[in-house]
Amino acid sequence: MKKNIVFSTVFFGSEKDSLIILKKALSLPYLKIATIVTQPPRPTGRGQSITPTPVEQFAKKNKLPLITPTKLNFKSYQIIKQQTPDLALLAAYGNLIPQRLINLFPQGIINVHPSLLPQFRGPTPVVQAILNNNRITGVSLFLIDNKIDHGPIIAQKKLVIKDNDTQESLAKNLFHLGAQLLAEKLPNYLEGHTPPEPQNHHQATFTKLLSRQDGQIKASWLKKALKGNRNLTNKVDRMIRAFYPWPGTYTIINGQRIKIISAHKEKNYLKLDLIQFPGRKPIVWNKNLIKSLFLNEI
Amino acid sequence: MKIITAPNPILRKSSVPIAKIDNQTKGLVNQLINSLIDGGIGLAAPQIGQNKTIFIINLPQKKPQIFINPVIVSHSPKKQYFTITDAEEDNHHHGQVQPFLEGCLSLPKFYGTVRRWPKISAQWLDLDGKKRQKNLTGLGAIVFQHELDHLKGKLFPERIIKQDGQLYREEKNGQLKEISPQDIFNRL
Repeated sequence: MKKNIVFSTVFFGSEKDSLIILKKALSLPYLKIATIVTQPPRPTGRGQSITPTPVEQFAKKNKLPLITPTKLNFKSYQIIKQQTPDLALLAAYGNLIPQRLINLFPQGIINVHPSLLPQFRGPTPVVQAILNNNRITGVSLFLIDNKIDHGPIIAQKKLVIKDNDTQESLAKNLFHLGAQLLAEKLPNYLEGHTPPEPQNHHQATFTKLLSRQDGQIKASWLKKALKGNRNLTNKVDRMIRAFYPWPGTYTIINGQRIKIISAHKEKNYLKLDLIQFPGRKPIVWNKNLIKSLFLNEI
Repeated sequence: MKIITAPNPILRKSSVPIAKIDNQTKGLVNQLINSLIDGGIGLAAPQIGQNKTIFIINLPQKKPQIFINPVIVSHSPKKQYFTITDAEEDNHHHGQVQPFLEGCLSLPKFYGTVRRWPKISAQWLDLDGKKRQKNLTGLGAIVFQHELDHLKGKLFPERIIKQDGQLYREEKNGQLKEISPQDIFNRL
């Protein structure tokens, strides 16, 4: 990278993991973060209190320029245009980017996507990698175009999924890997040495948003897994890890919705670690609980 | 009543307006309502084999609504893609966005991104033959435009080709795999 060249950069992100990329970008001497764009505060958690995104909290604490538009309309377009940006970085932003806005950036918008594209396009790539029993996943840096997770790829790096990885841990590791990859490949890309490669669209798969119901584990599956059915042990274990922390897993036994917070495998057996009865605090699993859970059925 | 699936010439034919609302029309409306299966949010007469300009819309938590000779009288200037906003009580993830994927009871397992007008002003006759007009937005507007397409013999992959959108097929394992809309269209 030539000295004294600084690229005016806009950052788009809304999640805790977006911060991993933002912090890396702030550390790169050839980038100047001109504006940060994040989702507006929204009701979250039990109390439904209005909470700013982790990105907004970080930006305010560090006095970084910030906008929080609900929609990327003409007003936000003009604010961004005033920065005469060269480049944008995007990590888990949560809004579609209109073509007009994409065109503002001569170097494009680089998206950090936590899968090996074209596999697992869409909003839940990390969850699907675990559910799908993939041994390997990875992170992709690609240029946003007018379709979802469809643009040409700048760089990719693989990561082995560990047996105890959850959605939370795997996403964090993938974004750290993405940050590292960005620092490695960005100078070359900006100098035009690594032309992005189109994705193989015939291989593309798409992931959907999750709802709470996705986290339901059939009581019969859970019972069989606890009794050592290997297939169901693996399946239920993957669900618990893939859906942690959101939407979480639960089962319904005798009309009670019981949350399953964590578990592990011992040979073919599923061993629960932490469960939660309705209206109670989470409790550590013990053998006596199996009777209270499945009494009516045994 | 069985829902017709593609390929079938009935689905590609333009429908004929209803000249008089009689018992036959009422029978057709009943058939439409009875044919609407779980999860279906709209059904047009050609989908049950009748090339007549009637459809019903059945939005979640609402009664099915009947549209006879429907037209769009005005609409917002630009078509756009829609996204799903998670309606769950705690909106846990700010950073996730999913485009709204349109599906069709006559094209099972296919889903795709279609640009539609976000706001329309629609006009139609109700079952008593009374003229009705309403502004529709969001899901209501999407479904109205999708069903109106059926009355013109148009299926949503045709729109996707024109708009250079994305089409997916649901595989046995529940995964959505991207496919070429042109390949599908040639078989419709």
